Formats: sequence, C-alpha cells, structure tokens
Amino acid sequence: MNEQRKEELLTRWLDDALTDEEVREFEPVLAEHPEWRAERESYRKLRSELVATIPAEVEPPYPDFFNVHLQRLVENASRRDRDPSRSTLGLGRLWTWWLAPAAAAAVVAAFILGMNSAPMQPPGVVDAQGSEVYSPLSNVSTEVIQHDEALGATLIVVEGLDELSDDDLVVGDGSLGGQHGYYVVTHGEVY
Amino acid sequence: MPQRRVLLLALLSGVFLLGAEISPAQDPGLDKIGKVRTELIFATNQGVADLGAGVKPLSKAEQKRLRASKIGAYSNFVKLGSVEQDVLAGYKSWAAPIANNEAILVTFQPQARINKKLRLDIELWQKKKMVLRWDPFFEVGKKIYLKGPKWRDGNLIITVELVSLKESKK
Repeated sequence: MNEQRKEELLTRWLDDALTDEEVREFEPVLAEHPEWRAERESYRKLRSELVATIPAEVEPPYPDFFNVHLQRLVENASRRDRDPSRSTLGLGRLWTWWLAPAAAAAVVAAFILGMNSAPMQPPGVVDAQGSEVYSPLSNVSTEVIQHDEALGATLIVVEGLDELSDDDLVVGDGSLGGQHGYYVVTHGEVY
Repeated sequence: MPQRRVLLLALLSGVFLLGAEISPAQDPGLDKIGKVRTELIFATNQGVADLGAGVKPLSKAEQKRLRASKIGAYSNFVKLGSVEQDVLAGYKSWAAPIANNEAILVTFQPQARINKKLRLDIELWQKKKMVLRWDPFFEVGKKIYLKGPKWRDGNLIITVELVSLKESKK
C-alpha cells in the first residue's frame, strides 16, 4: 500500500467513514500501530464534547483572527512532524491530518472558555490572561506587559507601525474633546 | 372624502407602527452599560510649546510613572486629545481622541461580562487601517497603555480606561 493510500484511509478511518472492504484493507496498517485506536478514541471524545458545548451556528466575531491562531497551531504541529527521527514507517505526515481537526477543536474550546473565564489579577491590572493581541500586519510585533511595575498598569508595546507625519496628525487648538460614535453593521458594511 | 379620511388614517397608522418598530428605546443593543475614556498622549524629549494651545501636560504623578515605565526614556508627556463616551451593549463604538482627525481611531465592543469585569474587543486603527486587535477584561478605573506609532522625535501612546460600569440586570 502506498503512502498516499494509507493517508487517505487513515483520514477516513478517523471519521468512521471506511467501507467494510476498506476496513479490511486498513487492518494490517492498524495492526502495526495499536496506539492509534486509543488516539482515535480521544479525538472522538473531544469532538463529542465540543459538539455538546458549542452552539450549532456560531460565527467567531473575528474570523481572520481565529484562522491565524488556528494556522499557527497547525504549522507548529507540522513542524514537529517534519523531524525524521519522530516519523514511523514514513507516516509522520499523517499525524498532521489527525492534529488539524484536534487543533481546530482546541482553538474553538479555548475561544469559548476565554470568553467565559476571568482569573483573579492583582489590583490595578487589566486581566490579560486568556486574551489575544493580533495584528494583520506582518511587520508589526507586540509585547504585552501585563503589569508594568512603574506604570501600575498593563502596557502593550507595539513595534513596526508606520510613523505618522505632521500632515497626518494635525494638532492645534481644541484638540481635546475628540469625537465618537458607534457602528451599525449590516451585511458586512459599516456606517 | 370619507375614503380619503380612511386612507389617511390608515397611512398614519402604518407610519406610527413603523416608527414604533424601529424605536431606539426598544433596541436593547443601545443600552448603555458603561463609559470608556480614550486618550492620546505624546511622549517626547523636545519642547511641546509648538503643539498648540489644545494640548495639556499630564499630572506629575502620571508623568513620573510613565518615565519609569518600559515605554522608553522620554522626559515630556502631554495629552493631545481625549474623549469619553458610552459603551453600548450591542454595538461597536469608535473614538477619535483628536477632534476632526482620524489618524488614530480606537473601536471597542463589549463581549463578555463577569461580575465587575467587562471584556472589550479593542481595535486600533491608524489612517483608516486596522493595525491591532486585543480583547482584555477591564475593571472600572483600570487603564491600559498602548505604545503606538512614532511621531516626530517621540511616540504616541493610546490609553483606554473603563470609567464606569452599570450594574448588570439580573
């Protein structure tokens, strides 16, 4: 059996989607990896817990933020699997397929739990745990100092933002007392 | 004539009902759950006199804290702009700390509320581009500082503070 076929059967085996004939075809591979059955049970358990916890239709408030985080988890998992010393029978890549849905499940669970948790923090500090800082700009980096001792507050240091010029930031009389409003979002448009 | 009167009454009833359906008083998303203050501070080592009459120095205590913090070695901190506004339960709000200027905008939207903490999704916009998003929990009176873009010889610092939070309805 070639690697591609093994990969295909493994993916569908994880989802209980093999036909009887395919089960017989895949049995020899499973016999060489008895630990996979336990792994699949863990995955099934996680999947059913998530289904029970997460509403059927929930759009993450920030899909791109969610996807970036998920992609980071999958890339980290793939990086670990590319280590030749860890692969067995050349099937190291297959675990990327298994880990991708598990990573997605972990991110969703963390997202939901993060929305509902509020661990205690020292007074004067904004609770930063369970929160994420995200920038869509690849050249921007951030450092969150949850409690800057001197400031007595939370500080985020952002590097890589474009510098502003005097034309951008006209400051003069009456600069205090800025403006504000609120958005009504309809069908993705903001006004 | 009687038909016209009936038609006019029907029309007015329809307008009344339509107005009633979209009444702000019936939109729970417009409930005010608290107040947030957004400020824009300029950290610099140079004089600030040419910035105009609208800027104000920060309190000595806050300047001292900022000088000692990890923001960097700056000697002067002045407030370029400030805006305080209501936090609406169901809508994203925006704040432009400097009047008539959108170089720096902050948006925030309430997400979760636990006891006396409110999670706000905050976005920093620079020249109409979203550059940063963060979702911390706030408590009343607790400010976050964000060391933002460079300007002139120094840095802009954006602060967001939850000024007040209404008791949650139970």
